Amino acid sequence: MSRALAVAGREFKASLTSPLGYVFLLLFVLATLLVFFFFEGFFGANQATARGLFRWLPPLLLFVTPALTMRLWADERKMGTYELLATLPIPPWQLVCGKFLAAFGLLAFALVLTLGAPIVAEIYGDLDWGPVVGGYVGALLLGSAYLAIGLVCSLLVQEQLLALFLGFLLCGATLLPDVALRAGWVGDSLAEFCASIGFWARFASIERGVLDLRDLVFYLSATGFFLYLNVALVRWRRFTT
Amino acid sequence: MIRAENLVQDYGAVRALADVSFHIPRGQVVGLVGPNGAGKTTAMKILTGYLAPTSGRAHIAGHDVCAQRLAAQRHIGYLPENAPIYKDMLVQDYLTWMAKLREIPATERMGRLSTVVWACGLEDALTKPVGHLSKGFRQRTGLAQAMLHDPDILILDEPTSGLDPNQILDIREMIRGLGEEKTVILSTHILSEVEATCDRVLMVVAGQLHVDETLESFRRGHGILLRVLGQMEGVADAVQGLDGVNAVDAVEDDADSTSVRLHTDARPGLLTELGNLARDKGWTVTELTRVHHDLEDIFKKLKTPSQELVT
Repeated sequence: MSRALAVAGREFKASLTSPLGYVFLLLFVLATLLVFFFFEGFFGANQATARGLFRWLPPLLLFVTPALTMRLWADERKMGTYELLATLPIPPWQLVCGKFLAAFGLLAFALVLTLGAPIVAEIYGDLDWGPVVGGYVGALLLGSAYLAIGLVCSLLVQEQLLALFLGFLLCGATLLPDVALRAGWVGDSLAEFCASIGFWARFASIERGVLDLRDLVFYLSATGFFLYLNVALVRWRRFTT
Repeated sequence: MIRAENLVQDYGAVRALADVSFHIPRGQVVGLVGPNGAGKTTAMKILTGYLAPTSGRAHIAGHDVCAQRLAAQRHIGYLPENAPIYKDMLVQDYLTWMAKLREIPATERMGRLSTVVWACGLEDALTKPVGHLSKGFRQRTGLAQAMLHDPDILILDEPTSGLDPNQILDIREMIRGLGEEKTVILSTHILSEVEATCDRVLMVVAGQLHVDETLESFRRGHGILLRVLGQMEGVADAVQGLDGVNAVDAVEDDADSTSVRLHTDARPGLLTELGNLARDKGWTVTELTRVHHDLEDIFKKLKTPSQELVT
């Protein structure tokens, strides 16, 4: 595990020193604060709530997470350093964990920067912190699943921007059940199923401040599944060129 | 120490390695030579466990590189082609990071680091970002990384490519030093490099192993040049009949003489028999010499696949 942490540490630092990583991180924080204070009319509502923040987090996460992961594998392969990693006596899951932890750390860092929003709400009025904590936990969970998907995309291609694009597509694809649900394309029997596998439907219930064990398990298993896919792809790479 | 058995590697329809086998004992410095695209890098990628061969097996220190990959990789220090490296890191950070990934205990880390930094002459480059290094220093950093865990086996893919002559001499000297204790495979398409550093030559052309010889026996040379006065018919046919002559080439020459080149197993007594044959046939021999055929010769021959191969 110490080696996974070593990989994570390096990536975390590298992401914060690469201009592209910075730009996306700051854009995310900026966009979050903007929609919270202006788009959601925080100042006009005269109400101390952070609900507006969490309504916007899922789409914002959809955009920022592939940007956090795009570099992680694609650049290794483009620079040839992937060969260094793959010839070290390290089990692939440790490399994957390292990459994931780095991305998770960046996401957590970005979310900490958005804490300004609820803190301002607290200053202006008495904020109910329950939903806020729930919302942040939900954001980390949803974000983790997106990060794991983004890592898979980064492992498939050598160009960062292509990985970014694929990440949007694949993370976006997880919204199909949610979209189907909202648009009423599915009947009652399917609606329940869609609600159970919809990434955003799950988020909505967490964001209400209800931390259901089933939601937790759902996001964790989605993350686990895509991380496992990462490990399988790293193993599979030995058989391809 | 290193054993390759019937390695085959296909890239789609292209066969990059076709049934390559060799065994390298401990302490040998082996030069893997061949033109670009011959399969040298592919062979190294298989030995390091980066690539699983289409068929065949490779063993490193008794461990199968596919089935016991991690155990095999612990014995290897690897410098991939072009010495890929994390451009954003400082040399010292990079080496320390690699030491962590290699699980070198913290108590030994400083000792190992200073050993390789000294051995590779990196003292003045430690606080420079890897991205700012010259090609030579990048290569040295890559070598330092490969030596960090004091591996038994070093696999170096074109360690001197892109270096200036002085740097090449430095690196060669380093490799010769390493070869005193370690098993080293290096690849190159520069033949003089093999002659300068290696104990043994493996020549790969178009995925096939064509030459596997110690440099010593290689240098001895098995060629004989016979030059006879006048335009004579049937010289080639006559010498072809001698025991131990594998092939005969006619050599372009001036109008006054006929020359042939014999490819032989260097059987003792052959030169005497040739002399006797010349006397019987009434040839006036103007030259009869063992040809020191060097790697360049073979290389040139192998580039034209239609011609018969030496040895």
